[in-house]
Amino acid sequence: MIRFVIRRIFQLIPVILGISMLTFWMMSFVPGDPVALMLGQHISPQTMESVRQELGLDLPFLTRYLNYLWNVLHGDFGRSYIQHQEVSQMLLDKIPVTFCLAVVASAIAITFGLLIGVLSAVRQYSFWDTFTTFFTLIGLSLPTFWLGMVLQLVFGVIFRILPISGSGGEGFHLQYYILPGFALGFASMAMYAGLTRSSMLEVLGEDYIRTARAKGLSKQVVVFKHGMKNALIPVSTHAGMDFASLMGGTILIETIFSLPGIGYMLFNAISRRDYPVVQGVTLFLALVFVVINLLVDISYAFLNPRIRYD
Amino acid sequence: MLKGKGRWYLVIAVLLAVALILSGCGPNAALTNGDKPNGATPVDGGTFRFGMISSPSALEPAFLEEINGIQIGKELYDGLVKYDPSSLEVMPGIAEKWDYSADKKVIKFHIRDDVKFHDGTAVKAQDVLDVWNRLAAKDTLSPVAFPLEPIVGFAEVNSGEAKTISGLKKIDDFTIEVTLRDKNAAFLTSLGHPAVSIYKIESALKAGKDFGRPVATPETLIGTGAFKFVKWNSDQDVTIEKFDDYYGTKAHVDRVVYKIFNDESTALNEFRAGNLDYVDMLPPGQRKSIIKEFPDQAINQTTLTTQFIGFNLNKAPFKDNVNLRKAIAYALDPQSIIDTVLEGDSTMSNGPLPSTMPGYDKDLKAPKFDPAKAKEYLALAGYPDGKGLAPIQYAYNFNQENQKIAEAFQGQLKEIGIQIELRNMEWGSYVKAMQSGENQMFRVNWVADYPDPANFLNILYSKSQWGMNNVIFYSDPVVESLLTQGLEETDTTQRMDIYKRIQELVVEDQPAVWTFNPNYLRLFGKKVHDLTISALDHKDMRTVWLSK
Repeated sequence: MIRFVIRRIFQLIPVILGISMLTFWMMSFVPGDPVALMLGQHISPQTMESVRQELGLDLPFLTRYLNYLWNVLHGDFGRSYIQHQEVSQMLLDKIPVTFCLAVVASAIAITFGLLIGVLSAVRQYSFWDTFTTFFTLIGLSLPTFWLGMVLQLVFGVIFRILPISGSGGEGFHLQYYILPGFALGFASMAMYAGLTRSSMLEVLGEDYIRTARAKGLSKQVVVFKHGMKNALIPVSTHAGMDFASLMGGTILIETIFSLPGIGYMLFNAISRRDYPVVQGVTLFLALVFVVINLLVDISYAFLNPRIRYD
Repeated sequence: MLKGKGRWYLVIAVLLAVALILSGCGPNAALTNGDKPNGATPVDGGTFRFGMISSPSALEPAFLEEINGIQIGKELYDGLVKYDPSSLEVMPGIAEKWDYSADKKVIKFHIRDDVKFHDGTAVKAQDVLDVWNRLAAKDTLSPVAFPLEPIVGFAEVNSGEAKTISGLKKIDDFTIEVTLRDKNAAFLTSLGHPAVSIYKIESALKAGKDFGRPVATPETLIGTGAFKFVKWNSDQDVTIEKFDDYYGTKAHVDRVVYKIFNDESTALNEFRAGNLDYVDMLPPGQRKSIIKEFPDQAINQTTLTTQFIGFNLNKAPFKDNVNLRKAIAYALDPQSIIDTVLEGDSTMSNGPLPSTMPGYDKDLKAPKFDPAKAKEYLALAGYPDGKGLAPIQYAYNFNQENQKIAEAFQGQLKEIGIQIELRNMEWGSYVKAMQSGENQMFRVNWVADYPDPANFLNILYSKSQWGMNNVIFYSDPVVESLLTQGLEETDTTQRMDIYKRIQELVVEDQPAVWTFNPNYLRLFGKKVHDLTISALDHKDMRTVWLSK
């Protein structure tokens, strides 16, 4: 097991390197001159050229990439072209917002997803079951930004019970994360509902459930104690990867809800060709993804002892 | 509990509710207000909540280039002069008066002795010199140092050959002398640009690269304006606070919070919910419904902005072919685009200057939509019915509105046989392509930096600006000489006559088709009074007040 974990950690290195190189390469070939965006139209082409040299943008791609990599290995992600701040500091400032948003979205998605899934499995082919199927379909097809706007209108403008945008300043203010969390987690909620339903249906048909029922245990005990325990294995392993996806999927939601997280920062950085910020955020998101992937793989082994890795 | 059909009715009811929301039903009736706020007695106090779309890039005067930075910057810093928010006339700022030498090349500015920085220390002549030298310095890389360009010695500092501008001299603690290379009638007006406004240099130097950036603190960002800096929460908001020791008329509101949004619809929803007092930019394509929703809270402002289609005069097919340029001018119908695509949110342009700019000539005879004349000129250009004319590329920076306008132009030109290939470009590439003369025909949007015709004519049509701002590569010896005369003439009437003559000559040459002067629709809350929005698009926070 320990050898497996160590091997997986070493496997992360080429993955991270590959992602960093790909991002760097993509940003280099995206049309648009960051210097022109930085300095505007009033500046002379000669000055633009000297700024380009100062930022090292005139160097060949490989040289620039190796310089960047060397600096990153020394903990230096560079400075934002626009805000002139250290990218690492900007990341540290923004990560808590995105993390909180992903946690709230996950919590909403898992709680409601499980509840709906269990209800529909227990009452198979009932009204609730049909409703769940319909809900899953809608949840997976609704554009996130549209849902966000509708939630703002209903809960922020018409009923005025939740804030429409922002994070409420310093610290964590739950009420500011509910609408964006719901919009972000809605598709996951539908997916959890579907997954729980099929998983529960499979488990509820097992012999040990029949035995539990035959012993005269109440329906609640059978479903929630014996059934759910096993039905949750595929759901829980999925939750990790879903959390990573939610972290990466915050760009639109943070933009719509003006939540100052890394998604919002990435959106602004891309539109302003702020290369160091784009690279920093992408690298961070890639790291989150691969680390969670690793943790999920490891958790498989703990949750299901039949799974073994060589 | 609902059973059977009842459950389905519930589902249908939920679906209908969702469909209603989908169709865009907003809370129209709740926010209507028929009162016009102007004219009442001002009340002091309160926080003005300003809905701003997109974050300012910087609050350092040397980088106040985009409108949001300028909006906040002009409240934090004052310059030697400022503009009257309504008329845009030059008024005394930090300098209470100024005198010109007989040859009009030397200006002596007398600085008020009661001007204080936000930390309470006095502003003196040396502060102005230090700030301006820093703005001009090569290392500062300011994109907006242009107001200082006419001063003797600016070029040397800007190229790194000298440290201080030789044409700037401190006479005493409250007097400075500025020597210009040539007479320049636009110089004083250009000094109203916030780039040349005054801040405490010691704290700025101490802050280094953090000066005027989101990490700024009230200890590092020390200005001279009616408001002092409080906090900039990156991507969230900027807060400024009334400065009690301000030398001029003090602001009414205690605080202004600029709430930053990236999405116009979110800002509009915050306004609907009563969380904003003003929204600066509204979602595109919703103009009519917004006016209907807030009939007495919407204001329409014509700004000093002009949009035109530029022809690259250094490149075929427009080089030396005025008839082809005129054919295109007669074939285009901007009014139909204003009525449809722009929902009436612009006015027709008749020449190089927007209608609100001093020197604007309303009698200019620019071509107006006339398909018959367009065909006539096309034949004269050597392309009867467009035969023999290769498709022309039309470039524009990409956004939905520009795309729709470009498609409409494409359709209108097709009517007379001219084929247009659309080239939508990302902003940086678009600017670069224009400056390098790569495009044949392209969209240009010029927003005034200061209210003087020189800011349009001497920049967009002078050969000295080729490859920078004169992206159509226009050059005419008579116009060039008139442009110089226009800058040097100090008699306003004669000066405006010169600029009218320049406009006539430029229109005759048809290096562009001047299409629109954009208007902007803004929303203000029911408690907002005396909000002045100048033609430079500055929203004056010194005059605004909030009723209880």
